[in-house]
Amino acid sequence: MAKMQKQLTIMVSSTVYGIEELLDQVYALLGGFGYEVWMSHKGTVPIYPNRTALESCLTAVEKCDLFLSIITTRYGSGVIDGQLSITHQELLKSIELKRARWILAHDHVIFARTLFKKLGASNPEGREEMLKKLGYVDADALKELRKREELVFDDIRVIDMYEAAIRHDLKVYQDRKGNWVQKYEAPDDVNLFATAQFSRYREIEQFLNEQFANKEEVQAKATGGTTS
Amino acid sequence: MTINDFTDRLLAKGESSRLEFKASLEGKDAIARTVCAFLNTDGGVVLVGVDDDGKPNGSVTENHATRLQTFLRDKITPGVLIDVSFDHASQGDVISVGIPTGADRPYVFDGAVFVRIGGSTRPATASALRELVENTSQSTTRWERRPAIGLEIDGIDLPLLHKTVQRAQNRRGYLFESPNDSVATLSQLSLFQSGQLTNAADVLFGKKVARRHPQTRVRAVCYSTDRADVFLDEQLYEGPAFQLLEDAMAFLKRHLTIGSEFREGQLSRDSKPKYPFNALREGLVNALIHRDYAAFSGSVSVSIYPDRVEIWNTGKLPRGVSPRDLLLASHSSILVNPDISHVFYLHELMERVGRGTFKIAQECRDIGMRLPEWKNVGSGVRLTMFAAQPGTPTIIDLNDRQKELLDTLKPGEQIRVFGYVERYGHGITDRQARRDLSDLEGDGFLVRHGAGSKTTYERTDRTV
Repeated sequence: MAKMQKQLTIMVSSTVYGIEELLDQVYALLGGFGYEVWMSHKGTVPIYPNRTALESCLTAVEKCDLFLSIITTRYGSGVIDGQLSITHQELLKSIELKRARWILAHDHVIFARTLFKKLGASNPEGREEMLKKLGYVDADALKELRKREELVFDDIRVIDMYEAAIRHDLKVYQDRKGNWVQKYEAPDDVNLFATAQFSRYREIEQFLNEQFANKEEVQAKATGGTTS
Repeated sequence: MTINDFTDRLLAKGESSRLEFKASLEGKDAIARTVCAFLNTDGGVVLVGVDDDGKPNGSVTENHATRLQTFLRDKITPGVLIDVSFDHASQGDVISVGIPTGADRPYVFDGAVFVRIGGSTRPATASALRELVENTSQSTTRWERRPAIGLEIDGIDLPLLHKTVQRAQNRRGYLFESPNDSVATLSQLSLFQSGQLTNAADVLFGKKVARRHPQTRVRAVCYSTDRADVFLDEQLYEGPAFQLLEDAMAFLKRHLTIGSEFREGQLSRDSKPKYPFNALREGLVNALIHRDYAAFSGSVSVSIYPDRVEIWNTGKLPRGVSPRDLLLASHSSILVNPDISHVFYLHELMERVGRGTFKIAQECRDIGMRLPEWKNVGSGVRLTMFAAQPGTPTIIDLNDRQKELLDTLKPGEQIRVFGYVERYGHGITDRQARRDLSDLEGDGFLVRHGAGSKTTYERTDRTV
């Protein structure tokens, strides 16, 4: 009897504010290509009642087959004020777990990183220091950065996310794997990327199978344990 | 001819790839799926409260139309102009949902993308999705969506924005999440994105838009002869688009006698040509919302000649839509600047989706004017409206065959050349028959569809 193939799951990790319509489109596209889509905006991330929201999100990163991160100009909220945002932690977890991942970053984030670098601030500490020198020393001053009317990004740590995504932590360039980050400006760019990367479901499935060195692990992952 | 006659005509046409009947509001998910499919394909119209045979069944009310509008607005993303109206067709009330061809595809309902295949609505397959996204991405970002360099929130005419909000809420039933918050309002209208105001925001509400975009100016000239060599008045207007519309209309009123504003008895004493006020306004609105704004050298111009008015704008007629199609009740509606069009619609300045040009033509017919002409001229589109001359009524010299046809063919019915020869021609040649039909077309009694041997002529509402 043939074994039932488990539907591949893809987790879409991003902040939501300002890109709700784009997330609706991405959700529909990925669903249309045949994936089970886990996206907090649509309420489809598995929730474990006895765990915190952060724990549920990080568990989803562990359990998904594919991970798609969209680094927007919004950093998002953390569990505790001042901590890393949930979206940031999801990204770091996917890197730690060597999860098959695809990452998009907004042009503003990439441009801002380049500008800071040109001005001599090439790491998180340097960027914090530069902001202080410019007078952004307390919460009130930082609020100015977040004014909607002139928003470039709302938290400098979106650049940290981008650097994590490009594996800036690895000093030897050849060691950087899974570090492709696609720049986007408009919603069309994201839809095109999602379509180009994920529309051929069987190819992605085959790619995943090849990624698992242990064939038994592949089997368990692919069949979901059901037979008919 | 009214909107309701228009609806009668659609009911008579029957379902097609661009027209669907729904019996009631019970299945509003099915309605939304079809609306979504029209947006992702070639646009169309859904008539609700209509049985499959095209007969209104009396199941819908005005309240249903409001509910449906809210439902579609909430459930279909990205946000888009969908025109929901309650119409009184001759056989009963129906809800008309006018849907343009979407510019921001893919459109999504209930987590899925739908497309139109022939007369059916289907979920898009993976390959259809790929095609949809790739085709959408090939087009560069629309000019109206690009950031307006140099425009900040204090450059926006906020009283005008708030007036739009009030009109949209009170007259169109449009709900704003935070109507008193200008940035939130502009965001909801897609005029503020990624922390920046867009060019569409500048065109619609920019206090000094012409400094950043000189192509937004409107030139209005009144010539004393047909040759455009001697002019009586010339004006250059600049400002937000609504202001341009009012300025240009004031110019037209100053130099023309507007037909619809005449009282009976005045016409015979006035020697000036006569034009329908609403058609002129509609022509100007079309020029402002459908024009190509990208080129700095672009513009809109209004030219008054002794016997005609020309409204010209940069751009071109949409691919697949011929000047003749614009005269018809049903042609695909492709919004060149959907964000700008949406705000005009909310401001009650735009005619219903896909019906504007038809209404212009009908208003001209109603007062005995020659049919208007749209033409691609140079880098733009020119609308010409010909004056009806009071005191010198058009003499329409009809032969017996033509008179018989007009007496027997009902509005909306069609006839081919060989049918004309058979029924009315009594042995005339095909060439003569074509000339008869062509003359009737020129006088606004018929509208031609198709070409060559497939040419058919549709009877309009014009009476002798």
